[in-house]
Amino acid sequence: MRKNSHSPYTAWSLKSKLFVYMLLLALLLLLILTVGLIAFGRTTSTEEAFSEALDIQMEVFEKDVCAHFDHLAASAITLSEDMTAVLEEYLQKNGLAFVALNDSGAHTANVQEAMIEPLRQKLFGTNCSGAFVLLNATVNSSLPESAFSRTGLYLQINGYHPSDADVLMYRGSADIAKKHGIMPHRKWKLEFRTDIFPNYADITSGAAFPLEKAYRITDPFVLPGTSENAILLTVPLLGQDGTFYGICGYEISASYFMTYHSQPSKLERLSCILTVAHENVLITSESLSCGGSNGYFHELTEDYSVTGLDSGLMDFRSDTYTYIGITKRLSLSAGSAEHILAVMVPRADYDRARFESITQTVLLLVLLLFFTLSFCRYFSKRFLSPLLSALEHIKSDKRNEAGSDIPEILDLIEYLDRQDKEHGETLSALTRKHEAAESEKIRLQTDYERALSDFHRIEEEYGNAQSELRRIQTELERLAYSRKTEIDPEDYRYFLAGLQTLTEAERNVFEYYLAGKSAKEILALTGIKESTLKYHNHNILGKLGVSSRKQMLRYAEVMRNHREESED
Amino acid sequence: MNKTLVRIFSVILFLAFALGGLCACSDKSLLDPSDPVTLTVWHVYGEQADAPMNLLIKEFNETVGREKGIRVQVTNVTSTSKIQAQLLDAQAGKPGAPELPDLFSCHTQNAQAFGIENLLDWSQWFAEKELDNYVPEFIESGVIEEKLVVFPVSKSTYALFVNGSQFARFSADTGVTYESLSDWDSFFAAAEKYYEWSGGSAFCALDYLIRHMELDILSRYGKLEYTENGWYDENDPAIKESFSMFAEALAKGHIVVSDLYANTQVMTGEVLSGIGSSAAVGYYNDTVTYPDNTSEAMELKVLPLPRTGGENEYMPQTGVGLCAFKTTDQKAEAAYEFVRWFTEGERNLDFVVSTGYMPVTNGAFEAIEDYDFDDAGYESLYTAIKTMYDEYVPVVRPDFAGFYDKTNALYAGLRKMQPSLAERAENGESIAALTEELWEFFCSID
Repeated sequence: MRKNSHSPYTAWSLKSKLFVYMLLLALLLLLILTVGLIAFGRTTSTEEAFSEALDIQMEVFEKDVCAHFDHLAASAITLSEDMTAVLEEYLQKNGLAFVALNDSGAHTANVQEAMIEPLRQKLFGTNCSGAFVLLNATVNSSLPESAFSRTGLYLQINGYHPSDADVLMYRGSADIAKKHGIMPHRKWKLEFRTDIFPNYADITSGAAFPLEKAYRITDPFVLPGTSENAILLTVPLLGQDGTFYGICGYEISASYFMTYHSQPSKLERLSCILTVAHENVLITSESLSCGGSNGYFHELTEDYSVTGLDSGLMDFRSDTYTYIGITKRLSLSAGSAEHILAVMVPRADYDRARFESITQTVLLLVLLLFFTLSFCRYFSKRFLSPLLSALEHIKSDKRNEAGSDIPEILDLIEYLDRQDKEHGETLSALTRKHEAAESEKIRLQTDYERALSDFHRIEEEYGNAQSELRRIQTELERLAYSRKTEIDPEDYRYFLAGLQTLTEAERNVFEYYLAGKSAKEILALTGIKESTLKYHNHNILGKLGVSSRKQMLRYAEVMRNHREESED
Repeated sequence: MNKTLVRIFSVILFLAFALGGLCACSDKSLLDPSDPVTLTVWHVYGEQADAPMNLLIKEFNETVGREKGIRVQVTNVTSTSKIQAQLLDAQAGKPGAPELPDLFSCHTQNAQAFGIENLLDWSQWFAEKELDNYVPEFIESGVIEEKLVVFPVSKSTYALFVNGSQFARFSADTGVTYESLSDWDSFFAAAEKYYEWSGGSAFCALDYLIRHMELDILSRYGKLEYTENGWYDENDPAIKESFSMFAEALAKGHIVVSDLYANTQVMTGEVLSGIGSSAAVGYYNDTVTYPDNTSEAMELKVLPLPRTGGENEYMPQTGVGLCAFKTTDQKAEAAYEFVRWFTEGERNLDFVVSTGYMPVTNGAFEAIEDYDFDDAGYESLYTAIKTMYDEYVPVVRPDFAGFYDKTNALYAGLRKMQPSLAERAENGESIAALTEELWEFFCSID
């Protein structure tokens, strides 16, 4: 295979390339899908989905609770006005002051008699589990704890369902109740106890016109004798002169709240709570709760710590349970404690949804990958394989047998055939040219070989001549050398005379040369510069009348020999 | 892509699905702790007051329910008659009717009204070995058309509840003791004395007067037959004799038919005592409050039903069981798990002794003797029940259609008549005539 050095990818096979392109296409599609979903707000995280669902749920729950308590307040105000009218009419008719009700079983009974039917009608006409009128009087002030005992009527719906037509008397005269076909509650008492009436001091201290600002929501409390939690909406009974006659209002029991406020919801396990506001804690005993209208209801049994999460959701945690949800503060009445609404679902539901979301994403990716690979294989089989097969056939000798339904391949085969034909003609021409060239080549080869033979012969002759020449030259050199080694007596004398003219420095250099030292060694021994040595050399050779240092040394050698001969 | 790779991938996918399917099939339980099933329940235990059953349900939800994926939710606590009426309204789809619950308290005689085919057959879920743990008679009492549709969770009887504080004063002044209330003759004698001692107050309010007549007849004559109409044969002298015994005391004002539950009249001081369901013990106030708002501790004393003096003494055996509407198998399994848990030996014992019922498991009754009671009234009740359990023969209530409509009509009529009876007697009308008038009214019920 021919390699292209410009791009590493060209080394990849078509199959590999197709796979990579398909993968890139899948990733691109996924990216476009994701961006598109995000851009059009069609994708949300589990946190966002829960947050949104809980926000909607909170909005519904808040409207529901606020509307309920608004209606209760409006009804309680008319109840207060009605009961005050009944009371004042009775007092006026009998010429009594309000205090005359104290210690008078007859008057209190008569007042209750006058109030019981309107109260029952109000009870049935209002979305509540109980209605009451507490009068600021007692039938027996001589009793030890009479300061806390107050007469009045307290009627309750018997059962969890507003459809129950039965009414029970929780507080009030049992005789009057029975006269009106009302059974006393099994934990009946004759009078109210203000020491256990929730927020009684606050309620009485805030009792003033206008009634629209005087209604209060009590803290949740356990109805005495039962295990039922309840809250009361109270409105004072005030005379035209401002005399405090007592209070009246409605009861919302935990069971009633659970039934009445069950919320329509898509959340399977929803808990909605109305509780007295505290920082970072949800106290079960101060709460009323409801579930979804799908039937789910989880009764709160433990207090919950409340902490915020990064996502804006709140974490509700008890020893046993963990929820996530949202909270919202609201004020149900001007003079009462602030309340908090909480809407929450079990943390496990949230975690499961998140797990499912992740699993779905992973599954989607796996499926996408799977389909990418499958499509890649499919495309490979339907598109690439025939192409490669056709190419293989084209490469083989059986091109013409290669059946293909790819027009481009057929065109290619046709093209190649045409090319082959053209190439054949060209080849024939070239072959002819080649044969002519071959003949010429053979002829030239013969000429060449002949020339080469001549060349070798001449070369041999040349070699012999060269040998003769070298012998003659050697002889000549020997003769020249012999001539050179002979000393000219005139030159020698000049040499000896010249020695006397050498300066001390030149003499030193001369001696070193005589000692067999080289120029380098002389430079090192004398410490003179090279230029100085050359200057001395020039002067020495000039003064001694020799042409070279070699000649100078030969004369010096002759001189030494002469001296030794004379000394012997 | 490599063919082998595709095959491997396909095989892995197939195995994953197959394994998932196999896992789902191999697990018999339909319950899923991560996705709990909710069972709504209407019951009668603790109407208007503390509800021990609600506490047990809380405990179940926090323990076994949480572990298995069951959440029981109480959506109504009221009387059996109301449950009956509301269920029928709900079944009929009447506007404003509440949603049908999954579980509800029901008397065996009322279960048929909902259609046996619509109710869960508990024997399909409880193994025979498990059912052997329960008192056989109680199990049998819940079988209709060979299906166990009313599962016994508690049984009650009747007892005599006395305001102990007031009785002590009465006793001190008249010498009447609790022993004086052991049989009907001395009971009526004591009632007469109390009427005089109190200046005209009734001695006792009876919730189910007609039932005492039945037990008296059974005790003295050994049999009791009903007419084809499901009422009493007015030509049977035994019936007239027995009814007249109670009617005479009514005419004299010594006893009254209770307004509904005698305890409300006892706690207002209207009557000194009441005879009603043993389960009423939970509804007796700790105090009696009189019309002048004075109050005193009740010091509740509970006694066995007065004896008739016949060959055998009889005690009513009543009490509701739990029924479940057929919905899904998952809910049926959840209901089975809850009821099984709820009626397990120790737990059932704790429940019944806190509600005034009798346990339904074998051997549990004997264990009551060693039970450590917190409240003297409850201890007194179980002493009385034990006496009756040992010495009286239990009798189940009639369960034919329409019977209770007739008894309710009778009680309603007697309540209407009784306020004027004593006054008429004082005005010179003979007790015999008044008694006869009551008998005629009795006979008019049909």
